[in-house]
Amino acid sequence: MEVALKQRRRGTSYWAAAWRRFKKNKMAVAGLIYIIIIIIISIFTPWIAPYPYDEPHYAHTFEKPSARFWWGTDDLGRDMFSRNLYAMRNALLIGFGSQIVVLIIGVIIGSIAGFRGGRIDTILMRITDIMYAFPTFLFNVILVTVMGRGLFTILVAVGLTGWAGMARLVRGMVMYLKNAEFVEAARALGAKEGYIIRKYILPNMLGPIIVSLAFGIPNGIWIESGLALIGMGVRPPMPSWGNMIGAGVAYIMAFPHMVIFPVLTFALTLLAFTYVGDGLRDALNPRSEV
Amino acid sequence: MAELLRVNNLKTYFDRYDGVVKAVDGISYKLDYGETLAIVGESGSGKTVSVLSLLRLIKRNGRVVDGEAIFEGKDLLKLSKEEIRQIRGKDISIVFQDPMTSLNPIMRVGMQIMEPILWHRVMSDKEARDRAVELLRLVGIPEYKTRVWDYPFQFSGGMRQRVMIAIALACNPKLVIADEPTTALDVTVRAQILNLLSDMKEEFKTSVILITHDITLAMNFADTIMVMYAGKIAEYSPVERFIRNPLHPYSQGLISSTLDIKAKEGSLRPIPGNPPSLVSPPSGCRFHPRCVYAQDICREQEPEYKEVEDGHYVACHLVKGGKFNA
Amino acid sequence: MPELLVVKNLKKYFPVRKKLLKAVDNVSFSIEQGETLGLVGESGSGKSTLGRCVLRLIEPDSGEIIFDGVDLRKLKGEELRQRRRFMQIIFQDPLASLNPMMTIGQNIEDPLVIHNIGTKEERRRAVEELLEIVGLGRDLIDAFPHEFSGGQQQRVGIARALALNPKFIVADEPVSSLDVSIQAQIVSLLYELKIRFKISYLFISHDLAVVRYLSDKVAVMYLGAIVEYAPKEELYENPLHPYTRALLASVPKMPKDGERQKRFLALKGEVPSPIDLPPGCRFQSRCEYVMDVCRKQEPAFREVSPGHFVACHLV
Repeated sequence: MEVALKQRRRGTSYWAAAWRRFKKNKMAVAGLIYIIIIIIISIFTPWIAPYPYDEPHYAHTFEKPSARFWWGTDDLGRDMFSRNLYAMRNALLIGFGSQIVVLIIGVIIGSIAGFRGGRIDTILMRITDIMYAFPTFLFNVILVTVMGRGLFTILVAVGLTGWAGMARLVRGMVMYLKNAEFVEAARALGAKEGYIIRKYILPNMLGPIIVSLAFGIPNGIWIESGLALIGMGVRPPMPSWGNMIGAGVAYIMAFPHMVIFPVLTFALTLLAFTYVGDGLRDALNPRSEV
Repeated sequence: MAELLRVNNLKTYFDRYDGVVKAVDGISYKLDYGETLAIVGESGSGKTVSVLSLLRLIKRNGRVVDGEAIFEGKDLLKLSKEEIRQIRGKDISIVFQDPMTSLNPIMRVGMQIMEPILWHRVMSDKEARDRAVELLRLVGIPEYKTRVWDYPFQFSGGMRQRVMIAIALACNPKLVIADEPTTALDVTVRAQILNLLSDMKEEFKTSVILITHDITLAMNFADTIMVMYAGKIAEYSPVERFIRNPLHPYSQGLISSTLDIKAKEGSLRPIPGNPPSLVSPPSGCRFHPRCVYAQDICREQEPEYKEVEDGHYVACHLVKGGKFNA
Repeated sequence: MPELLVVKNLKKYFPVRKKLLKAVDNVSFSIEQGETLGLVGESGSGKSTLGRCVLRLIEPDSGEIIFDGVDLRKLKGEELRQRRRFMQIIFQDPLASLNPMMTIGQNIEDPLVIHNIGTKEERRRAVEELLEIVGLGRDLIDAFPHEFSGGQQQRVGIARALALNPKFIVADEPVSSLDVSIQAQIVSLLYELKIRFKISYLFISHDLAVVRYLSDKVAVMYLGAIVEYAPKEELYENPLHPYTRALLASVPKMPKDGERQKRFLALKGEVPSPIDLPPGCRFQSRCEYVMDVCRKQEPAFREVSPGHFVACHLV
């Protein structure tokens, strides 16, 4: 249906319109608020946490939630609340960090393949296909075994195994955009290639890339926790939702608080990112507005 | 001639993020047996919605809010889902604009012609087969006996539109709705399909509603013309009368802004402005912001849709006694 | 008048699964300063490819494109980029041809930015003036393309093409995606600009009526080649090629005198695949006058009366 333009001085930019659409999605907004809060908490974790994550209180093992230990303590008497905050911080670090790796590798490979085409495209895309087909989790286990179990190496490992989707996305968009009519128009105007990439191609790729990253973050968190669960994650006593849940499961009947709190925060965090991703996907696609 | 369809005060609205789109806002018309009615309008005029509403084929955010559509004594708008399904494809069928996307790509065209016949149990399987072959012959597919078992991708655009017409005719419908049936086709193929539609009308004696943006085509092809603007009927008239005496300024504008192949250089007088928003349409006559003859009354009061001559209806304040007085 | 553009023996073949699609097959024409050439053809005729080859947006395989005395095919990088100031293009789908992330103002300003013309303030004034020329209000400068209707978007596309004061514009089906009343507005605007700025168009369209309105000369294209080329009146009053005749006959005419047409003269069949054409005349499969010679020998493109060229054995 044709919308006749209301004469107005300022137009709504792509981003302003996207924000307007995003705000309509209640779950996405709730997810975004949650994420902002946990990011702030994570930045200040060392100051917020009542106890160090590795400080044992041997007189207070398996304690139920109380005024002193809000979320109770674990088998070594460590404060569950503090450990949870650190686990969240690690998860976010790995979630965001791995996506930075994904972004760098995916964009470089995808845009080279898309712009150059031909042989180079074929070779790069075959490599991408192999990465895509390879069982990610297994690959991660191998990488972590080889590179070590530090926070940074896990982050790199998750990124190294997760860029194939991004590379395909970027390649597809570059292939489309480099032949898009408005890019042809810019070429006809005499624009240099660098200018076309800067002003025409990159800005138009941002939307889908952001959506892909938003869905990539919970995926990274998920893999990190999985690794920790099987004992391949961050080295104890550093907490991770994976190793906390793994440890808690053994005592689930007697001391359910050891599982419930990490599982809840873990699930909430994943949900929040997924809802935000959903909201962004709809918001950044102007055609979703009918 | 007897009346096949009568639409009274049909209103179809769509809900959208910025408000309610009054796509069709109170239109009334009739169609006789064997008559060809051309509904002419630009995009957003409501020409397609006004017809798809009858078959309840509008998108989910749309709804018919008022009106009736009496088709052979039954009000289409009050029928149950099952009853309307009995009518679709059997009594009323549709030819869509784009033959490339309107056929099922993984089904042989013969099967697609047989489908409506079998659904509506008009005849046996064997008879339906023969009928499919016969229809392909009628719509002018060469080597129709073998091509009937081909897939749509093996047909060119014009041939697919012929198949679409064959499907529409499969159950001997009383009414065929042709929604821009030639718009997606090449110039030379367009003429072929128009000829085919003419022949089929003769052969099957069906009524046709031709939805088109092309007023030249409508004036050549139809018995009756209905010009729509912004969800309302601007003018409705037997074509012969319309050709001699188009009354609504929008009809006149459409004619003068249509480039004829014989048009002289500099003779074009386009209608100024753009089609209005249907969320907040202009006050009074919806055409007044683009009308060169607009007066105060046009801005303030909505013109009545009235019969000015026998069978010739216009909604314009400036038409009095069958004449346009500006 | 001096010749602005001379195209000689232009060829562009695309390889399609080891076969050749001859999209533009040995095409020659010329356009004088201020003159408009209408290029008529159905889908698959190669008319859009030809338009883009002339601007070197698609690289032709061979031939000459002499624009203002310079062979564009001999120009390299920066030289060609500078030349682009004088030749522009308007597209069929106006929304697709505008950068969705830029405002209307930025889209129109872009050619000036690219060629480093004027200060920011001067460019702003130029954009406002261009908006006025194409009939859009200055207050729309900060709106975005998707907020506009198709007609307004096309006006923006035209304003952008005008920004560098080009001598020549390729208009590739500029009105075929627009509504009737808006088509008329845009055609009028293009006509007005042609007169006002002495712009030459290569006006590409399948619509014979629109082409007649805007053009001085008309070329009819069929499967990659020009089959008839003549001054406008001559072509419409005295069409010689069977294809041109069929095209003209298949268009419904406004029945102003009350004479209605329920049947139209229709050409048999459809445009065949442009891949691997048979020898002889490319129109043979649809021509009602086809003879033996048409199947064997390709007809020469020759001048039959002053300025009227046809490729047909029958003429």
